[in-house]
Amino acid sequence: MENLTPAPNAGAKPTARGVFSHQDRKKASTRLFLLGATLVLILGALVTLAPIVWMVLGSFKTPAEIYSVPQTYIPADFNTDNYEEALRLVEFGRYFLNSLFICACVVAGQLLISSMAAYSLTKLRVRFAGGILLMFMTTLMVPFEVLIIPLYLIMKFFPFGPDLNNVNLINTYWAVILPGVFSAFSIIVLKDFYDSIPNEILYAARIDGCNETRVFFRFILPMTKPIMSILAVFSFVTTWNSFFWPLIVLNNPDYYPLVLGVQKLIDTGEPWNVVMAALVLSTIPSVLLLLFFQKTIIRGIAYTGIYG
Amino acid sequence: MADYKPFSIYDDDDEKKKSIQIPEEMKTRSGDLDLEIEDSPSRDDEKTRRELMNQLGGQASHPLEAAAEHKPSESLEKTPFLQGQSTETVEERVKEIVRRRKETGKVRDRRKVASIFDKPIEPDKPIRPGKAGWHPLSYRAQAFWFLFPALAFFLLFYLYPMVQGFDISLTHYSPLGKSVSVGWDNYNRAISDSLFWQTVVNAAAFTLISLAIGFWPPIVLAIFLNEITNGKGFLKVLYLLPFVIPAIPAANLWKWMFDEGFGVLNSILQALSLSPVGWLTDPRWALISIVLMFVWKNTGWFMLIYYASLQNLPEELYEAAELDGAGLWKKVFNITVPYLVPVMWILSIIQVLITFQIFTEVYVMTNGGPMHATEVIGTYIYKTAFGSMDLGYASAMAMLMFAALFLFTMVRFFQIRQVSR
Repeated sequence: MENLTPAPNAGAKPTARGVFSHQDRKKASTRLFLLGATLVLILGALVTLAPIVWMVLGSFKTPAEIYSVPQTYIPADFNTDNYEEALRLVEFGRYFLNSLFICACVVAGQLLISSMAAYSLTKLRVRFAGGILLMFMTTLMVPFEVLIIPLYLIMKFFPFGPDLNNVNLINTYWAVILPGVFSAFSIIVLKDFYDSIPNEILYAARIDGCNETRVFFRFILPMTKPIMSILAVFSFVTTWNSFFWPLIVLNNPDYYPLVLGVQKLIDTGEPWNVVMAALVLSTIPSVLLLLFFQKTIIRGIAYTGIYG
Repeated sequence: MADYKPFSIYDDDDEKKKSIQIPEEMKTRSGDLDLEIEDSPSRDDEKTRRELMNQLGGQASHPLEAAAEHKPSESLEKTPFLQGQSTETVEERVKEIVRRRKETGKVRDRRKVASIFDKPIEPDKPIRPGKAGWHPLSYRAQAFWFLFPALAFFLLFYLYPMVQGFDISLTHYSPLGKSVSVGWDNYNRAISDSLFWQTVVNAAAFTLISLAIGFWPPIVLAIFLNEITNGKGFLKVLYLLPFVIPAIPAANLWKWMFDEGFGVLNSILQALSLSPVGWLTDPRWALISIVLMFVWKNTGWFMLIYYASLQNLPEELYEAAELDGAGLWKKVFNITVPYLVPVMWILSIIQVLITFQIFTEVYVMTNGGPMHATEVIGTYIYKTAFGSMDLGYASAMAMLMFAALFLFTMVRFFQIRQVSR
């Protein structure tokens, strides 16, 4: 009974041995090869990074520089006029908070609902659990394009308004939040994870007098923190980056999430140096997220990569 | 010594002594559960009665009483109280007081009530669970309530829209109320719509090109990353950067880099004294340009999946191969690559699904592109549904797309099912 908390099994081994054996690694030819591999990796990283660097450079250029025909690669002067202009044109604070609010609601709702459902499906042995799970899994097969039109109509005539009348949810946060809350993907991942929790822990808790709600909040949720953090980051990133659905249901600039607001700015035909500054500003939160949660994201890709 | 007989302090006792009406759901198969209220009064009842008697009779207290508490009925028979009063009236008055107290809630009815456990156990009969009706607070129902929110969201935002979508696809939908049912007309229209087929061809081309360009780099990079010892974490983060940043900045950035006049790519081509390319304006190049951006965005992600898979490769395989004298290339092509084949399959299927559903990148970079060269199903549905408000036709196309993707999604579905077994 040393450690009952199950951990994601992927990436459990810290370093796997590569193709080269330890003896091989001392040879000069292997060292040369490894040097080559490192160079290729660095080259790839540079190619990956180059567009982002180009964006940052572009954001400092003057209009004359950015519209010069042999491109000036390095701006002569790093002034922040473009950023000031972008901040003047776009309500970044407002859009940022909109995005944050939507993401927080979606992540909180999705995690709560998914973990409750997974708990019910695995540990409470609800009736028809297999069938329900199968049904949930089929939603992974449905492309989003199939859903947008009826979902748009549902949002426009949402049947659960006050007094059970239709209410128009277009141009509200609800229109973006509600369809994002259910995620079959989270339920399946959590279900797999719960399957690895031994039932004896739950029996012990129940014998000690916990009801199911308490068992769930006091035992299951703390035990599943690693996978929950992975799912939280992933659904946050997905929601933060989502563009198609907000584009359809939001027309009021007051409710734009960040990416939609930036795209609307670009659609007005601003000069590209200002656009680059706006793009940099809209990229910063994601980059910070990656830097702060890099372990979680990388572990999550290793763990959930198989699910896609 | 009065000829006092213990009486019940509850006035409805006689009625309750008759056999109790057992509710339907408590009845057993044989249906003959005969329960009665036990008439031996509890000690609390006895206490209440004696208190009341004391109050009414005045001289009921007796030195023996405290000692005699264990056998109340016996002691009561010996107790010389209530002289000069008829038992009848006292009984009546006690019952009256008890009734009044019950109404004000001061006395609870403490008589033993009928319980299913009173039924004598028949050892040769198996004990069957009773068929209780569904109750919202029962254990089973608790499991249901835990599932309920997810089920509600699933029904409202997945199942119902799907059914609704199919329904809409059979109509000529007009937003102002009157939609006319037109049968399969929308589907026939889609099949004879060359633009629809163009989107299918484009999506297939997109998938093939992206597999051609972007299939091997992540694998090679993952194997290399697995070999080197320093800077792994740093490289991983760098490679993940394009995957994490939203599609909007990424697509706009690439749109600017692909710009025919001022883009950096043409600038480089000119520096190499090559002729510039209309990356997004030339129908031959537009699709490839978007694929390039797509590969840039996803390579790091795919690489990390391959890398994670390599972490689980058992090193005994390499050791055995080394003992058999296998060289570097043999090890790579006979152990590493075959080990990654299942992941390759998974990622290829994912890539097909992603590329068929691509929208944002195309919408931003070309919006269907020069002469519909980059029109994908997503942009076409978007234009049809929200540009010309032809929701019926757009739904029909979405359904056809679903059907076209069905094979791939089924493969994907079984992959996931295998994983979650």
